[in-house]
Amino acid sequence: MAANLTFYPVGNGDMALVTLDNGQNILIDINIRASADGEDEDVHDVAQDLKDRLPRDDEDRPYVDAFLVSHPDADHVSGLRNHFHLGALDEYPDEEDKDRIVIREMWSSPIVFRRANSQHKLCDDAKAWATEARRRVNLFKEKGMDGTDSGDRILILGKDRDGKTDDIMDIVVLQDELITAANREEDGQFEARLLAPIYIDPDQEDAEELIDLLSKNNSSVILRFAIMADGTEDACRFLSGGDASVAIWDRLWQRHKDSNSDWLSYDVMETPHHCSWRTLSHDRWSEMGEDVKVSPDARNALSQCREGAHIVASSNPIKKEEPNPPHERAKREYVSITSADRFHCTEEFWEKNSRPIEFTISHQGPSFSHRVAAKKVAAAIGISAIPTVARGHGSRDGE
Amino acid sequence: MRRHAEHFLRVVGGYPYVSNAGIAFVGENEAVLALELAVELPNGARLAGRSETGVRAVEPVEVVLQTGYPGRCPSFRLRHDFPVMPHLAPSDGKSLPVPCLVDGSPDEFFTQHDLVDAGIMAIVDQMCIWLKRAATGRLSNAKHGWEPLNRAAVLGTIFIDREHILGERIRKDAGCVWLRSRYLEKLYRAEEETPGFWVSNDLAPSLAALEQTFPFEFETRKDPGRTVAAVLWPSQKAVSKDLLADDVTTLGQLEARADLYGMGDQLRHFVKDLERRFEAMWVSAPLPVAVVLCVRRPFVLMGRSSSIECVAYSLNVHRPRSDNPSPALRPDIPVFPLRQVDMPSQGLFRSMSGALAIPNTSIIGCGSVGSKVGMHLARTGARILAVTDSAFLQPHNMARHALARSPFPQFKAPELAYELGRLGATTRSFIGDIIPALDEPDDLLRAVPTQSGLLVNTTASRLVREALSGCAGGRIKARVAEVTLFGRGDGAFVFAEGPLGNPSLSQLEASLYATVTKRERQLLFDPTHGLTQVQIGDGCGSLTMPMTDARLSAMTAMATEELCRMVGIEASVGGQIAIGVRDRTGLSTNWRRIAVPAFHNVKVEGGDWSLDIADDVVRLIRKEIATYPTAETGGLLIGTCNSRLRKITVVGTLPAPEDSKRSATSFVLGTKGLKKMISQRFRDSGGSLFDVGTWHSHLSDQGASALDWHTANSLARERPPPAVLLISTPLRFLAITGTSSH
Repeated sequence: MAANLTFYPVGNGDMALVTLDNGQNILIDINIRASADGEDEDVHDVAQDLKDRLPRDDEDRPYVDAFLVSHPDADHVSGLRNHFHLGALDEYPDEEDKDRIVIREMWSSPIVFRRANSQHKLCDDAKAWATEARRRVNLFKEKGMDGTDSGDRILILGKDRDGKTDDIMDIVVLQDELITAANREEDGQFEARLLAPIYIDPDQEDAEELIDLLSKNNSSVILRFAIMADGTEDACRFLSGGDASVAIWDRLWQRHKDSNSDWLSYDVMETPHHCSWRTLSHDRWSEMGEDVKVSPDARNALSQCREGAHIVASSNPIKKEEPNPPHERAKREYVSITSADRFHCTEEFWEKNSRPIEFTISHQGPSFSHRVAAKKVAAAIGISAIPTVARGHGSRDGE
Repeated sequence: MRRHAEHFLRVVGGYPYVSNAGIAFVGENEAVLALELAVELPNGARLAGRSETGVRAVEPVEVVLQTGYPGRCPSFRLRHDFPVMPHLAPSDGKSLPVPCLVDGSPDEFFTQHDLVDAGIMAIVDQMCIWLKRAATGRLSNAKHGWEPLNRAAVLGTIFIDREHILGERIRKDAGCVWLRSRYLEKLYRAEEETPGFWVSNDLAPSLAALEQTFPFEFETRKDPGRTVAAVLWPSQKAVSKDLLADDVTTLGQLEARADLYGMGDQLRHFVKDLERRFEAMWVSAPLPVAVVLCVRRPFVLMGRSSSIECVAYSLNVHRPRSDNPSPALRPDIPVFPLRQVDMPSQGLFRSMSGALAIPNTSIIGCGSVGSKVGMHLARTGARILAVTDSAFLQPHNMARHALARSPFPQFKAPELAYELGRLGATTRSFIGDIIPALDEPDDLLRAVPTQSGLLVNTTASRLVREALSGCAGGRIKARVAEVTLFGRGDGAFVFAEGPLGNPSLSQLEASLYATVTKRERQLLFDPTHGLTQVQIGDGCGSLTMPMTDARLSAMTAMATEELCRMVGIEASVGGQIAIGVRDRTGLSTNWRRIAVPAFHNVKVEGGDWSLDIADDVVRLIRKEIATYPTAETGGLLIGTCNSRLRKITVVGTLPAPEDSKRSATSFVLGTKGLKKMISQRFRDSGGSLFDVGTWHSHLSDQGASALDWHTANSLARERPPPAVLLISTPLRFLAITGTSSH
């Protein structure tokens, strides 16, 4: 099993899979739209693709070792109820067509402790995520570490400002700390530093202002992975930033620039918020056009490249006239950080190559994968070519 | 050849990482294409334009198509200064370096794809994967193991008990021992030197009285000769990390090589001692002697538990009578590489069984499955008339073969025949390949004697399956059947053809793929241990599918029982399939049976293809037509398409999508959702079943219309595999296929 990063084409949404050398899988966000489950051949069946990559347990259930939902927005959690098993494992449905994925360990921000309200609206999948997270937290409170097995485990990424996590600190990762195990398997395969959500001390001066800022998108989990490959530690650094906006990236740079700027460095980065302009600037494009300025702090935070780094935008094709996100000016900024051939858009790549963007990781670092999709091969030799257009048949001559 | 070369170019033109492609040379027997492949490099190397191991971002590659293509796999060559690495036969100064792309037979790998186009894509993909691994030095590493020198093509062979030598002889300090050995001067009738050595574990004295030559003795007609094999090893500290070209051809070069490996002194000592033994003698003819260099490698060898690689050579001691004798072992005398083969160390499997009476049987393939099927059948009292195989019994066969044999080279077929004879059978053997034999009446008679009522193919070879398909009733009178294991012995299938070979083995295979269950699919098409057994990536044919003898025997035994049921005197004569798979827990194995009625053959107008339609499909089409008595209707045909046999085989249909239009005089096949359904079928069948054409009805008995021909021709222009239009009139089926030139 070789370490691997996979970025699925899910429109303006995120869905990435980190595969480790030991065969463990960490899934980051999902956006499995109804159209991807439907008949339309031109939308990638990401759920099937994911299941094909995942290992299966003795009961033939596909599973992920860890599943992170960076924040509870529809474009990061859609498809949860359809494709993932929620609830205790002994309730796993057995019918062949309900081949749901088992989540061995959930990774969730403490936002699951917040009830939905007018400021904090949740889609049904996000509600289901929060319900499952609370089930697991309660089970942990009741049975502790030893009593929570694969399928019941959860890690809370960040401390809750209202003290909801005070009594479960064994399963809480604090800001700036490291996660070193998926599903509690300490195997030296990776470490992931929790850069956000930013913890707000209710007593600090600007708490009120921060609480306003840190809703939804800005509550996103930001992790910087350092992944081992072929026995080489830190072979690939991967920065995953959810939908965090410019204010968060400004703060992260201010916080780390002096002694820990290395914490932001990467070989592969997924652009925050589907290549939106909001990540990079406080200026409004709609008002200022090309006069807008990029925030230097945010740019610094997002440009700590290691040699030959790549940036992936998980978004719809990036066009000048299209609404934000994705934003063409943002793309130009990312290209200036890397280069045109090291900036990739998931949907553009899908249109051309019929597969997700992938990086294989060796001891020398990540390589942008050249694999040719089976579907592409099939298409090249003419399979499925008959129904490209309606085909006339019939006894009537002369048409 | 030009046509093949152009076709190859057209296919790779669609491959995204072929940055340039052209034809370099076309001759009568060979075509050479020049490709440039973009290599997948790590971030840093991509920026620099070349990897640490010296692989460039874009690599020139030569592809050679030779006589026999597309029945033979194209071969690949790299630039002359490509860095030396594992899985590569380095340049010898004249020829270009050749990468080893496939573990196993490249021809089988290439031909497992029905469509030549798919085979081309697969082998080019394999080349790209190879380059990617070469770029990161991943072709061989501590995890995968050190790859020993690839001497698969070397005919000269040395059989040694490697475990004994490594465990009992080699010490920390450098040294040398002589082991008593037997030899045959020629193992094969080839022009080159093909000596064979059988090395015992007994020491031979390296010093002896000058007049005494023991343990040397010349080979006689009846008895192999006696000689020694010198085993040399360096001190524990001398670890050889470098991979060197396998190009030693003289004793002088061997000495230099031994120096590099840290055992130069040992080699010089050995040469001196040997020379001294013959000092006072004339040697009338060359006497072969073997040298085994035990090279210490930085990590464990692939598939082994030790990091010592045995590299063996032979040389001839020859000191003819002369007035002015020169030393026998001069630096310029030739040395020859030897392929090293392990001596056996395993016992024999004994089985018992019982089954129904079956017809007189001939068996193709005397490998582990074939030998076991043969023994099982013979022990039920079945008469085994003939067994066919072209290969030698190798010591490694002893791991799972039904026979236990000494390591002297013996052909599998006569050995199996001999063994069956001890069970009371009078079995003849045919040493040869069944495929050419099908066209040689005399050979065919030896492989499948006239009285054979049943022919069982146990080779698991796609090529043999194809060749046998359609022979029954013609060149072969016997009923044809097959037993094949897959998925490390966790799965097996048994086919029995119908009367006159309808359905044939190939049609049964397609029928099976049309109905595979999830578990069967996982095992059949798993890339790491699926049906083909042709492994890609690391390892050059070093080992076959790993499984225990017990597993192989268990599955073969069940398959044999199933075979007996299918072909027993009371059984149905129609085509039959049985497939068994072990579940994930390993606790139970489930078998299911499928009866396959004869296929309907329809003549295809407009090309040299033939069309076979499964009976199920015919019934389905008729049922569908009955529901539209006043309008033309139709649908999509799913099946296989074999460009070598020029055969389209239909085993399923997909219904017309909802946006299709039906009227009394026309039928327009819509598109909604159809691509997705085809993809699903393609995936589920391990990439073998796809859209091979359409069918539609005509309300009166009328042939293809201009519109039908128009559709057929536009399909032909749009894709390489043929698409057939099947027309069902109230009286008959007819079919057309278009040509791209219209």
